[in-house]
Parts: sequence; structure tokens; C-alpha cells
Amino acid sequence: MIELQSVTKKYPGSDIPAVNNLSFEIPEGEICILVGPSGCGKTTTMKMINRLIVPTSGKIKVNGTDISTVNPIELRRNIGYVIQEIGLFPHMTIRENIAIVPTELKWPKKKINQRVEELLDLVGLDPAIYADRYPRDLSGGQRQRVGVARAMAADPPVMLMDEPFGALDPINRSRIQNEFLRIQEKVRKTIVFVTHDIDEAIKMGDRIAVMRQGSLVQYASPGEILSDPADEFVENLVGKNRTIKRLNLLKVEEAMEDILILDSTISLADAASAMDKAGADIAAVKDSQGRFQGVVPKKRIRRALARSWQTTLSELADEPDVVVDLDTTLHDVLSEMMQAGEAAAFVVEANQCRGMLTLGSIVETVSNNE
Amino acid sequence: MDYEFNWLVLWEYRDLLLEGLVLTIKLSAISIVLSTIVGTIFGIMRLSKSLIIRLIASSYVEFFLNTPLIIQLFFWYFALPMALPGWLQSWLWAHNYEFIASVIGLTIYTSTFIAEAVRAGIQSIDKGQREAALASGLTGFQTLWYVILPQAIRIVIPPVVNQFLNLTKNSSLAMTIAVPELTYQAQAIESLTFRGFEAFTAATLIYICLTLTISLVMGKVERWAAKGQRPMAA
Repeated sequence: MIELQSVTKKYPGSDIPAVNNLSFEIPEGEICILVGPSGCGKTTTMKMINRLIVPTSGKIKVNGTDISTVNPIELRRNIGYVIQEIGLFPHMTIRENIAIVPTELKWPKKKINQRVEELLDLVGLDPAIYADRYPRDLSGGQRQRVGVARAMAADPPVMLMDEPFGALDPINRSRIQNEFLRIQEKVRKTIVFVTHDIDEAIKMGDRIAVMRQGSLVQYASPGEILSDPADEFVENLVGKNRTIKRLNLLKVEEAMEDILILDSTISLADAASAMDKAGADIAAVKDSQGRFQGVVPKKRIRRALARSWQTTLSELADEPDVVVDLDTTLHDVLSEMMQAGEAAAFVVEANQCRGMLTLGSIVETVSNNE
Repeated sequence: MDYEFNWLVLWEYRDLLLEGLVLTIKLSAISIVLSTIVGTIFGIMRLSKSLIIRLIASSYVEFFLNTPLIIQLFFWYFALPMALPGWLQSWLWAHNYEFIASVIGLTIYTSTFIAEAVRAGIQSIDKGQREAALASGLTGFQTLWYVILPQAIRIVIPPVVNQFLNLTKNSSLAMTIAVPELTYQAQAIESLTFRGFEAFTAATLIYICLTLTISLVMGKVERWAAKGQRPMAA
């Protein structure tokens, strides 16, 4: 848990405090997003938590300990830190970068290597390929994953993230955001996350602290911020299209429709009549082991029957263009659908088709949630 | 042209040339090592948080950068001993003081240029690197040693190599305080044989070989230092 008690920071030579009498608490295991326009004090606030910046007055406690009483070196080894990709050390390999803190802590070499490989696996990079490369050999997204892995190296309970995904293109950013949320499900760190992107804040945050000119304007869950903005400033920050922003909060699970699943071994005629009976225009096909093979529209089966093609259900089934997970946000599903020019998306997890989404089901879910 | 070349004198006086060459190499090598250490320390000091340390470093650099090397050599050799107690004077004279004085002179003079290069190199490293290192719990010294300097080296090497070359050429000034290095010996051959053309041609060629060797070796060092980073623009 992180507590800020009347924290103020005044830079020398400036009359207006960068951070003014800030007080709030971040519960253990939650992601708190600091959001606001540039110069609002969000980065200063974050850097005071690991004493990169020393507050002028006020108290900060991490897990009950006043941080001003802790040796800063000791403190920082227990707080992971992720910044934009520039934070990787270019003259060190990925392994050396991740091993920085464990090496300082004098872990045995074997344990360090084990940890590096475990972390690379966790962030989805194959250690055999990437561990001994240099940062410049990696793409922006891969470097950012390494940055996250490095911050988690010594398994710190608290992590600070300063616009960690800011330098990535939108598609990579949404992918790494999803992965990060999945990792957080497992590791449950207390995270302070700075961004100026309100969409990212709504998607990633358990709580959002909206800041303006060094003060806290609103501290609430993303849902509350959207439905009940504290004042005009928050309203403007969130923007006019609050309904569309809400897409960031809703997951596939909530908008998913059931899908008819057919065995690939049945005849085309049986398939057609099963779909008629269920009133389905499209069905998923699974093989004899129950693995998802693809989807097939009823029209295609009808055409094959009318022309008496010698074919099977598996041959008629297509891999769908848009495949998503249960915990993908509706915002990401919609943008993928639009990019692919498809009106439907299919939910596949562990080789099983779990359901489908259509534009209709998404619209309905959002309007029900208003 | 009436001058008849007689390159054989070089063979005749090869011992003098060889002694001169050995001394030039010794003088340059020792001064290169010392000036790199001293220059790096002052370069880092110029970026210190403490005003006093910064002042000390910049006075040192400005003072020695802006006086002629030959004056500095004369000062260390002729002037300094006057200020020393008698026993130290005689100890110095008994221990090849002309060599020591020229090492001091070359080291201090060259270290000012190296300090400037090191300072510029460190300043060119992105601030995020320092912040990331400190945030990972590295101490100030570890940040400098493991993160900043290894990256600065790549940027600092080319200007510093130029200073190594300058130092090697400047070592010829040591003849003015009676260090029998290469130029001194070439001059000696000239006065013994009146074969100035041959003697100084030989010295010139030897200096070129020396500086080319330094460039070649440092080119290799530079490639090593650039590991993990974009290759230098050719």
C-alpha cells in the first residue's frame, strides 16, 4: 500500500508548487493511474515515491514505512521502475539489463539466469532467442517488454511506470497493455502508472487520479470518472464521447453471444438442418478432438448442397479474420473488426470457440451499461 | 642542386635513432596513460553537483589549456625546482628529472583536452539513462561506472585519439629540456654529420609510423566500445 499525506513539492525559483498538498492512498495490488495534462505534477508525484525527487513537505509511506527514513538505494531496489524504451542500457545485453538489480543484490549467478529466463517467458519473449541480444536488435514493443521484465526482476511489491507504452504504435500498445493486465492478474503488484492518455487510463486503471496544476481533481474508479466526472475539467479530459470511452471498460465476456458448434464429421445436410433449427447464420466447426477448426456460414453449406459438391464441413470452414480473447476490451475488438472490415468477431481460447460478437451485440451491451 | 644524398649515415647512427625512438615511445606511452586518467577525473569533476569541485576543475582546465606547452615544460623543468627544498632538488636531478618534467608537462597539458572531451561525452548521454540507473537502486558511482562511462567511451574515443596523436607529436618539444628523444637525436645526427635532410626525413617517417600505429590500435578499441550500439557514421 502507498499513502501520500499532504505532499507538496516546490522547485527552487518557482512560486507555484509542482505538487500541492496531495493526499491519497493506493491499496495493495491495484493499479493507480495518474493522469492529467503535461505539467500537472503527475511525473513529479511518481518520482517522489522512489525518492528520485524529494518532497518539500508531507509524508509518503510505502507498506507502512515512511520512505524518508529508508536509505534511497535500499528503497529503490524494492520499487520496480519502467520508463519509455530509452531506459534500457544500450551497451548491455537483454540478460544484463534484466539482471541489474539481482546482480546488485548479489544473487548467485544460476538464480539470476533462471530469473531472467522466467521473466522473459512471462513477457512473451523466447529467452533462447533474445536473452543475449542487445536492445537495438529488438523492436520497440519487445524493448518495452524487456523494460517491464527488468522492473520486476527482484520481484518488488511496488512498481512505478512512467508512460511505459507511450512510444508504441496503437496496435502494439493495445497488445502489450492486454498482456500487462494479464501479467498483473498473476503478480498483483501495487502499481503507479503515469499517462496523459485518458483511454489508457480507463483501460488499465483500478483507480484513476486526475491531476491538474499539482492538485488532485478526482480520485475514483474508471467507471465513476466516466459516469460522474467531478467537474468540467475532468469532463473535458474524458471528452464528449464518453460512451465510446466506456468500450475500454467492457470486456468481450459481457457482450459475447453463444455460437452453434458443429462436429466436423457430420454431413452437410445434417449441418444445414441443425443451423436451421438453431436459427444460426454461422456456426463454428470442431474436429474429433474438440479443437476449433474455423467458422462456416449457412449460405456456403446451402450452395455446396445445391451443387452437390463432394466436400466436408472442415473443408468449408474458414479461419475467421478477427479472433479475440474473453478479456479483450470491446474497444480493441471494434478496432480490429473495423481494420479487417468484418462485422463479426470470434472468441477462441485454448483451441475452443467460446462464442461470437457482432456489431449488434456490442451496441446492445454498451447501451445497457450507460 | 649540389646536395648529394648519403642515406648511409642513418645506418651508421642507427643506435642514436633507436634510442631516441625508444625514449619517445616511453615518454608518449606513460603520458598517454596518465593524461587519460587525470583528464577523465577532471572531466567528471566539471559535472559535479558541488560548485567548489566544479570551480577547481574548470580553473585547472582553463589555466593549462590556455598556456603554451613549451612554457609549461620550462616551468616544470627550470622554475619548479627552485621552489623545492635542496634535498628534493638533488634527488630530482639524480633521477632523470628532465624525463619526469616532460611527463608532467605533457600529461597536464593533454589532460585538459581529454577532460573537455570526457565532459562532452558524458553530457551527450540521455538523461533517462541516469534516471533509470538510479531508479534501479544503483549508487551514484555505480551509475557512472556501469552505465554512463561505458556509453560515453564510444563518443569520447575519436577526440581523445586525436589528443594521443597530438601528445606523441608534442613529445618532440621535450628536446628543449634535454630529453634525448627522437627529435633530439635527429638533431644530434645533423650536427655530427651535417646530414640534416636525411636525419629529419628519418625522424619524420618514424613519427608517421608511430601515429599510424596508434590510430590503428585505437580504431580497434573504438569498435569494441561500440558493442550494442549503432556503428559510427563512416
